[in-house]
Amino acid sequence: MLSWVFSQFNSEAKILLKLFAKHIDKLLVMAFAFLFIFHFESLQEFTSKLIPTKVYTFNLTMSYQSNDSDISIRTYIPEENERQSILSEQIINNGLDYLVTNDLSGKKANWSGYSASQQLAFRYLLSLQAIKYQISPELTIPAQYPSELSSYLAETDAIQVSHPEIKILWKLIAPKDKNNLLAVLSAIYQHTYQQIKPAPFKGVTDAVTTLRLKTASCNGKSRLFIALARLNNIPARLVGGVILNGIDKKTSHQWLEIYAQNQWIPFGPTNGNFGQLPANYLELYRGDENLFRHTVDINFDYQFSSQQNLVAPAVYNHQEIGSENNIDITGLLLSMGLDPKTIGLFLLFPICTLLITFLRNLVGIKTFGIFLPMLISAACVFIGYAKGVGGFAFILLTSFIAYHFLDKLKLLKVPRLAAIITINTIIFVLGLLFVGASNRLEFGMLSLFPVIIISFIAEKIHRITEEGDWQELLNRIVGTMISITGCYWLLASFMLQGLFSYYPESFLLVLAGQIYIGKWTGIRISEMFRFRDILTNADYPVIGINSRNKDFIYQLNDKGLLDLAADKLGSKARLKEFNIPVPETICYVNKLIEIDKITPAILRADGFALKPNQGSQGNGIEIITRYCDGVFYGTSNKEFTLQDIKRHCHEILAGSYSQSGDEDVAYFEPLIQQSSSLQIMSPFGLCDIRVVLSKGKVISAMLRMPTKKSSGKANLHQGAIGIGIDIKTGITQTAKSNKKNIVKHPDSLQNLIGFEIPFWEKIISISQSCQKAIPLGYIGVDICLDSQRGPLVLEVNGRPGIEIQNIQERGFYYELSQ
Amino acid sequence: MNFRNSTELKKDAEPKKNAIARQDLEHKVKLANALPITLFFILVVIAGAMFEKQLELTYSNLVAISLLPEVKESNEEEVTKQTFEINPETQLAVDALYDAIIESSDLTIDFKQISQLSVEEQLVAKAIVAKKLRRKKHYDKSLAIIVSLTQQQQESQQLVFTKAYSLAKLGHNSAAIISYEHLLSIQISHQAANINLGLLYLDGKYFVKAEQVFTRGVENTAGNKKAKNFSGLADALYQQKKYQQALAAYQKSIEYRPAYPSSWSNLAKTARTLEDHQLALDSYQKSISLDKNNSKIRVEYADYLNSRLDFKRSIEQLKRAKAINRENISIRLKLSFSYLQAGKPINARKQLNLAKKNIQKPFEKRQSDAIQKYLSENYPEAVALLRSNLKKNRYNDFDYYLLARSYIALNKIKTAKLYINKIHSESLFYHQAKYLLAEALSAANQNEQSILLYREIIAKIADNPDLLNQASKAEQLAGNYQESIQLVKKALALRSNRRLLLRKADLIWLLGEQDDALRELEQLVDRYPSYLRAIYHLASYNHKLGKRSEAIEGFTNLLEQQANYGDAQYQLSVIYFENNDFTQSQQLLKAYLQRKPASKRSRLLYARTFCETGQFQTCEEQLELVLKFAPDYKPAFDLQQSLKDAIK
Repeated sequence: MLSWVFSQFNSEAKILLKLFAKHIDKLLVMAFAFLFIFHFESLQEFTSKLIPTKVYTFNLTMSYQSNDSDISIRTYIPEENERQSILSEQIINNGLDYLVTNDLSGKKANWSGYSASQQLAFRYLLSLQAIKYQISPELTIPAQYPSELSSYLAETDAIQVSHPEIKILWKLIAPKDKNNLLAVLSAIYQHTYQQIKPAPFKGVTDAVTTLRLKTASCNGKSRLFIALARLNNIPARLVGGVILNGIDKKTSHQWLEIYAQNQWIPFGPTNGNFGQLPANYLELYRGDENLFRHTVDINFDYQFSSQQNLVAPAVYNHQEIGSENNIDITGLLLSMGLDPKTIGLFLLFPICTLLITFLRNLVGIKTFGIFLPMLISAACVFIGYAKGVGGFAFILLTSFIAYHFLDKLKLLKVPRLAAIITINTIIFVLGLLFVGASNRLEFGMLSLFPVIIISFIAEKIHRITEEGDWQELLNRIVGTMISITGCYWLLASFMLQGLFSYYPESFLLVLAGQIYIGKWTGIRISEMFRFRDILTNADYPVIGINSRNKDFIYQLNDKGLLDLAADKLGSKARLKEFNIPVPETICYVNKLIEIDKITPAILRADGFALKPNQGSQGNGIEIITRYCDGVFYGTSNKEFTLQDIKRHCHEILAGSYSQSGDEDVAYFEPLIQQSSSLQIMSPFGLCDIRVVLSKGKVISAMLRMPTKKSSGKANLHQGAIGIGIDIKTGITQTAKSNKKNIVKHPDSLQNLIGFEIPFWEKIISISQSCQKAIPLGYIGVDICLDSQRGPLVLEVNGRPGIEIQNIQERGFYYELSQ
Repeated sequence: MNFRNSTELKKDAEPKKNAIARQDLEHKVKLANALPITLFFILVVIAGAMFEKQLELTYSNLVAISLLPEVKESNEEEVTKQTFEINPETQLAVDALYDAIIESSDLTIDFKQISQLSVEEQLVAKAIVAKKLRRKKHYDKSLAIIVSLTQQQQESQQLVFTKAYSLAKLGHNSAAIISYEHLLSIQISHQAANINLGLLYLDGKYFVKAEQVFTRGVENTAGNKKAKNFSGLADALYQQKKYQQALAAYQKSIEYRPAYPSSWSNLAKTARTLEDHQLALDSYQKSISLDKNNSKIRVEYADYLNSRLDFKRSIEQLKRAKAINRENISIRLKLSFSYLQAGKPINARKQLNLAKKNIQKPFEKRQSDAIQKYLSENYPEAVALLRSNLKKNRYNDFDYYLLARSYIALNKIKTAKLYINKIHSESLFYHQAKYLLAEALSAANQNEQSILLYREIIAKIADNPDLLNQASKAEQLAGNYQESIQLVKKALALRSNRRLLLRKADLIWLLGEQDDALRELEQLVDRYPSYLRAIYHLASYNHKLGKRSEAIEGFTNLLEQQANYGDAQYQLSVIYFENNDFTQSQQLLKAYLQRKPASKRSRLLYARTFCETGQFQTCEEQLELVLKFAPDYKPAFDLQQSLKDAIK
């Protein structure tokens, strides 16, 4: 349809469109630049928009046990004032009545009602400011105050203002000018901060006890300070709250405030705060109060937890943006009711995809799932990097173990997958209880999806481990971790959140980057390492995966023909039409219901190969060498029953080995008796010859020879030997096993170099015929040598690999280009 | 047929060559740019990270406010209160029932005052009255109401605690335990019940159960109650000799209730058992600072100080305890004994006499009699009395100790040792007894044994300067000067005084480091210019080193401060004699002999001065006097012979 649309344009328009398509990345960059210049006012203004704001999450969870009787729990909750702003609030009542009241001491929340054992909680997102008072040395202590302040000058049981010992102490420490506010406060502060040693007392310590013991916790020091202040006619009051330092704890904190110049000025003699309060001090109440009051004997327990983060103000203090930002993405998302954290993720997902694209296409990192790392890192944003990665690893491990266990039960693919997903979901739900995420709903929504994806990955891991390709497994694990870490770092960046929020034209830059990388066909960093031995050979430049895909496969190979090449049976049929020799098909089955029809056919055959139609890299192929007394024997004398064979067919039909993952067809071919010359050299499996052609011309060829180590399979990464063949003469020139040069076969000890491939000219001719039969511009033909029939085409490959360059010890970019 | 000439062929070949060359270049360019792009990307990332870090550092949310002399108005908010209401009819009935029960002399209750109420209300009324009776300490009457109800009714009205409490108060501990256990089985987090149960178990010496109950209580309580639970747990652990755990539990109790003096004193007691003396001392001091008028703690502290041989501080504490509790005889007796140990018998006697006026208990009478006998130096009677006391009360460490003292006073060290060995190692008198023995052995020149004892005591009590000083003397007597000086240094580190400094200087002299010794003495004299002994020693050592002028200066200084100090006159006269200043020497000796006429060496020297100045007759007369006092005094005899020969 697009082609039709395109064909309607006139030639100039077509040229323009082509130009546009060719330089779209540059155009996007120019568009970004234009918009940015329009948007940009000054460097200072730009920087100030990106300066972060610190937000604190403050959670309190309370638990209790009651014997189905009325209970009441009261505590103080944060309230807004000149240094405290509440960004969001969430209260969990669990069915109890909830009431909030305000009085002099603070904002109280009360839960009450008839209830069994429960948990209550509240969660706050706060913005707090540090405050510092500079007290003028000229200030004196007033003689009188308004009557409302009288309670802050009075004596109490725990603040014994007129106790003789307090007075004696004051005599000892009083400054010369007892009317000077700063001098008096300094004297009191010096004593309570330095002379009274800190102690981890949890109980209440009154002023006199503190004085006598010369050691006290925060409440004792504060009470002594207050007693001395009141003695000097300075109104003072206790303040209670929590220090938000990111630690889960049960201890609250007390400091005090003195009244001067119509302001309440904070002092903290415990941690050395003179006339100042750090930002992470959350005030909850004022006065000599108890933080909690509750019905007795309900086994009340509680815990505070807090976290602090630097965040983009654009997301958290959205009202400050105003009308400067014409494209208000943040406002739009906030109006949908999304959590600021989630909004931050949405803003930065595109740049994460750019990172992943870069890592895959430029660096050459392999991962489990292409964008799965991004989803994992999004979950990490909610629960922390360590927990997120740990959770991912745990679910991966359980999936792997579950797969292994279910495989032993010989479950079929779909039910097996369903079971793994179920197990993972249960673990995930249980994990939510422990995760303690500040916003479980959105975390859950974001994370459940990757959990399901991980279930699929388990299957891939199982295959890799079955093949013993531990290096591949390690590479993927490392690659996945690098991707997760990189994405997490991006998603946690307040600067990027601010940038994309205030300057949404930055998305154009991201898009440009993605398009640029998409067009880039150079050698990846990993390929520079992979082909390090042959890269320097300028006469035979190496072709990388990017170039192979973009310059050759996309350009030369029609999609329909690629599908045909992937369809083994279909391509066999086509090749037969062109009289190209292929192995016979004993039978095939494409429906479960027909599976029994294979029985007579395979019982008759003296050995066979069971293959998936859409398989690749030899996956899913089962070789049976003989049948005796009801038992089928595979390579290495592995035993199979008829049920085993049928079960394997089930797996194939379910798509376990299919390249696309869709349902497949299982087919049987007779066992090929390898040509004796090759059999002598490689007695442990069927060798094949890979011939690579481009536009009808033979570019390169190699012989793949199984070994004992490769379990009889001709896969190079599993330990098979790759032997480079001179395409002109058909004589073997180089031999490599695990990237190392060898001369002899490790098992048969036969010489591998200088050996002439039998029927070489016929092989070349067959290969070229294959390209005519299935006219893929860039094609790989796999040929084996049957002892009776000679060269047989096993399969054609529309995406032949590039490792052959290492085997041949030279690149073939030029040959392909011509 | 198309033929192509070479030029045309060349021309054809050129574009192809160029195409290849261009492709070559393109591919080389492609080949090259993986690294540059990656490096560029890395640089961008690093720059971004640095920029972000810079933004983070720029972040500041500090609000600074200057408080200047200005006046402003402020507003405050009002407080609201809540009150509760109850049913007035039920309240009336409750009051009537309560009054009737109070007035009744027996425990029979007919509840007619609440008969008009519904069944439900009657139950509530009974519960209210029972609880009120308990609060007013009418435990039997409260119990009488409770037992009239079924168990279910008791539970529904939350009377189980009241029942258990009343039972305990009436002494029915077993029943109280059962009730508390039952209450806790239905309400595991009942804090008061848990504590009371634990206390009952402690009283009944069921320490393991008490430990379990308090451990459970600790988990379910907060604040003061948690402190109580920790305290009870510590008591239970202490009784089971789990001292380390008990210590930790007392410390936790203090964390939650730091102003409770008993917790500190219990901590001190446990620290003593674990021989953590610093902790014990600190804890006692804290306990006393919180409750200055608690004589019991002061006495306990004093006992501990005595056991540490710190008699001076012990006396201070006992004096204060006595001031708080003048009627307490035991305190006076302890004070008397402490004075005795501190070497102040007069004070000891005074306190004893005051105590004896009001003694009533036979045990105290026996003790005071024994002390009195001892103080009167009537040691045999003291021994007899104490031995007779022991027959009545075998394992009495005080009697053993006083017996040992008496035997030492009678110079029967071996017998004293026998009684000292009977004293328990954990007894307060243990170290005191050992110390006593060590002193006695040292005085009896049994230095080796005394040194061993001192070392044994010092291993336990390393912070008593007097003890270290005594030990140092014993080492010195045994010729162990190095060990002696080490002990003196340790004593000085604890308490620097001039006597110890002088001893140190003397020991340094004995070790042969004469210049160092002189330096020490000079510093000491500078610091204490009126310390005559030090001046004497310094002058004496200067003399021994041949520094006569310094010695003369020293002795002269000494005699100016105190003319009749020891034999300073004699010593100075010797120096003058050596300097051939016979006149000066004579004068000094004359003055000295007026005080010490029997001093033979002085008189001999006096005689020699006359001989040297040619006054032979006077010399002869003086020699005669010397020989009169000491006929066997050879130097005088020899001089006399020489004189006679010279005259011949």
